[in-house]
Amino acid sequence: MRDKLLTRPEEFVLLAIWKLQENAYSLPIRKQISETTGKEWSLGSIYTPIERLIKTEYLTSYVTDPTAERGGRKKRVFRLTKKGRRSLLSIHAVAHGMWQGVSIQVLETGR
Amino acid sequence: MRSSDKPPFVSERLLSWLLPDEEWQTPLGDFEEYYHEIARERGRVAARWWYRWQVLKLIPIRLRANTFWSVVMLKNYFRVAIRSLRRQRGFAFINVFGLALGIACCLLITLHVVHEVSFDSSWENSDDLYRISITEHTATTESEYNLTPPILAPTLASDYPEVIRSSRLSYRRQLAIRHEGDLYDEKQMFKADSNFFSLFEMSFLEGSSETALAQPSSIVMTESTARKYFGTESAVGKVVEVIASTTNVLPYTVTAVVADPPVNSHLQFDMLWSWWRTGQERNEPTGWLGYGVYTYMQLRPGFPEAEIEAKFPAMLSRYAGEQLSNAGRNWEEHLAAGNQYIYDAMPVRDIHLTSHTNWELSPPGDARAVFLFSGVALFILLVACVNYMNLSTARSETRAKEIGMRKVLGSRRKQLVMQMLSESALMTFLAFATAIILVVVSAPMFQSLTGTTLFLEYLQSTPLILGMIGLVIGISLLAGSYPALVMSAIPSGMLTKSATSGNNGGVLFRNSLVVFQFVVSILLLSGTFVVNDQIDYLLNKDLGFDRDATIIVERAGIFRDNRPTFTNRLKALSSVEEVSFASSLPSTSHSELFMAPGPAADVVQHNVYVTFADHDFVDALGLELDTGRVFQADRSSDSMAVMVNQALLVTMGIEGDPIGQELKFTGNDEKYPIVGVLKDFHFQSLHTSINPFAYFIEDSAMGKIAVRINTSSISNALEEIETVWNEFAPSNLFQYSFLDETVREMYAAENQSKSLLSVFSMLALVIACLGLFGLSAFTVARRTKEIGVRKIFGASESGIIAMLNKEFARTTIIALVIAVPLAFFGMSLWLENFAYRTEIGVMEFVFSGGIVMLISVLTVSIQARRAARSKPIDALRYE
Repeated sequence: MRDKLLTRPEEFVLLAIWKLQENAYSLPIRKQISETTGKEWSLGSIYTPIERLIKTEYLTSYVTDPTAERGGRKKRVFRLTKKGRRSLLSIHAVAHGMWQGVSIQVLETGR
Repeated sequence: MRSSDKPPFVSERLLSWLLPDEEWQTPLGDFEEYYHEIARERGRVAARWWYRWQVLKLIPIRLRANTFWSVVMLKNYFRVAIRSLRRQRGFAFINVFGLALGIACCLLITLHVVHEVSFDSSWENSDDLYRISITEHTATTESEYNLTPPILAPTLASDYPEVIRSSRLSYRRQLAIRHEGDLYDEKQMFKADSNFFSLFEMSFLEGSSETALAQPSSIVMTESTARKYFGTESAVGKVVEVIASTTNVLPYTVTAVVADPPVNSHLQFDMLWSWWRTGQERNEPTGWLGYGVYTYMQLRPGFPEAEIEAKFPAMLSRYAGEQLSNAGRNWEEHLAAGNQYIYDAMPVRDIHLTSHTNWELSPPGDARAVFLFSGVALFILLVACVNYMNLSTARSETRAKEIGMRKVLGSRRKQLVMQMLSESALMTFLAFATAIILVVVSAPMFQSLTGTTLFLEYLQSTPLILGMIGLVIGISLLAGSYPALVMSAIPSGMLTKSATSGNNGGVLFRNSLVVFQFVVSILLLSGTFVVNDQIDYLLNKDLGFDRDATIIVERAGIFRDNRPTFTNRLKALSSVEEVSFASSLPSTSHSELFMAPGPAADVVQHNVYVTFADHDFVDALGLELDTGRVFQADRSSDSMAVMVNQALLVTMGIEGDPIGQELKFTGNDEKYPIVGVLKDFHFQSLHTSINPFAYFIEDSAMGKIAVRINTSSISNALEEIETVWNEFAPSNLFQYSFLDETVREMYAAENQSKSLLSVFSMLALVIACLGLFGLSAFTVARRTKEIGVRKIFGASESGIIAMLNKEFARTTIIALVIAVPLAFFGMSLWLENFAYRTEIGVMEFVFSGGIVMLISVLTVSIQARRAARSKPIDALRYE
């Protein structure tokens, strides 16, 4: 069964979490997406896709011990589930397929 | 990291409060970390503002999410509440109506009590206004007066700087007034000083307080009186004629019209008129030992009355002492002989409830009754609340299944508590609304039934409204808290298992509440019986004179010139048996004079109630002679003789044969030999024991006529008497009352207590029964299965009814055991109010206990019978 296609923000979040591994909590995720896209993403715009991905079981989360720099508060670290990893693979496959036969050179020059 | 470098405190709190629950507290940390990041990059100020802005953005979102679900759930709670009310219509009715009835009773009593305690508090200077009252002790007697010497008021104003002003009011006059040929009968007329309206500020419809009583022969009318005389025309300047006697008609000019005095004031008058008829003031009586006017004074704001009271003995020894020494007597000796005059400054606000002399301006209230009824109100409210709680908790147990289902479906405990409380609030609110409607609808009936006045405007006053809101919240919390807290705490598995299991703690609690209700019911019922008995006793006791078929004709003083002919004409009527002119008659107020045995020293004196009357007095009233003889018309020496009652002989210590022993008025050397002794009769109300009484012959026309009429045709007799009256005094109204009615009126306060108590004890009983009815229904429901099993094993219908009754009979008996001594004690206290009283019999308690028992058995049996007759198979299937 093929999974439903994910939205762009969801895709970004999944990728960022995969890359960040043990450090995958809200702030670094936001930072990475902001830096890569060159656009300021607010915390809220990160929370929303995360919440949705948790609900659809692409992500799980666990709570770490409190740290001082967060005012003694715990942080919630996210991790991809098997379903999450599979969906990244299928996104990649779909994207790859779609790009097949598109020449970057022609896209850049227009001719 | 600096500790001061924290996100804005308020915003942080707000954020943590806005976040849904524990699990979601991690964003708080996220935000704080982000905050520090921004602080590093763009500075603290920017970071702080960013933080605040984030939180602010969150508010509308969270609010929408929260309220949306709360409203949805609230709607659901109310829908479920209304459904469950509908499903158990009878129960809902009992519960809401019982509470409404209790609240309505409590409100009615509150309105009555508020009216009683609000007397004379609305005057501008209420707190500084006082009336002087005097307690007079002689060697043997003690009397209270609110009438004072006329010279007192001017003395107070001139001698004491703390007295801002003082003013006088005469004793009440009853006169006929003529205007344009019409005769009006006026009962509430008082002479007043010109500064009266400076003490008691009233609003003037015409004229002003300065001019109202400034001139002689002026008269001030109240609004309703002026309307009676002049309709809508202006009253000021009009002349009315005051009829002092058949030959003496005095013109008075209306100078002002004031608003009717407030209902809650002891000052009730229709007219005030000036002291003086003509320009020059008549010689003011300067005596200190004769009383005739009411004295009011206004003290400096906040001046304690005790301080001025402390100065009164010195004032008396100065002025009254001077008066006595002018008469050749000595004040110190006078005091040493046991005579004492205690002047009190009574705040006007206290007059209505605490002053009970014979000369009150308006019927006084009864502080004891006010206290009693406040207690009754509180008890009824308690009974109703207890009832309501009982029924609510009993009912909630049958809803265990619903609660269990809600829990299974994920209801949180907080939500369950909210649901139970909102349901309870809904019902309480319904009850209050019903109660207010009940009060407004029943108020007129209540007032006429009990003869009380209610302060209905008080329904809109802030304290009462706040009190009611508090009560709604309190009752809904109390009644809702048991099901809310206990039921929501039970694990859901237990709840769904059996919907009818009750816990024993709850049963014990409810039973003790039922005992409490019945204690109150029995108390009120037996109290009603005792009050009834006492009033019957008062009204039927042999008073020692003939009160049936005797009428009292008022204002007989106008026959000054033609008394003998008038009397003879009356006696000639076939319907009239006896006629006697007298200064006072039993049940009317008597003059009190100081007398002493003839040989006694001058300082000895006793307070004696005196009647001046003609020779027919004894016959007309049917008094009985103990020893000696009655006055005889052919003995002229009798005009200097006296007849006394037995109580006088005892009080004065006259021993041996009283006939021929002499009496004298103190300060006077004339001696009056006793010619006859009358058997004691109750010329005053039965609140007091029989006082010394003396009867002197007086042949001029005294103020009242006692006419004993032939009972065969009373209306005919009245008509004939009136015809004769009109012949002799055409310009005067013929006014009469029946002696037995005036006797009855002396117990008006007791009668009012009686009707109030009857009404409220019945209502309390109704409420308690409603409660019992509901409670027994639930007991039966809870034991349905048990009853089914019992029937299968051969229990009879009557056996099951008896079994269910036994439980409730026990509570009734416990209630009886508690209530009887309480009632006995309370009613003994009340009866001490009377010098003559009935015995508290066993029957009162047997009756009230019996009534309560009977009603409870009936109530329970109705339920039990239904359960006992149902088929056992239905019962066993019941869950």
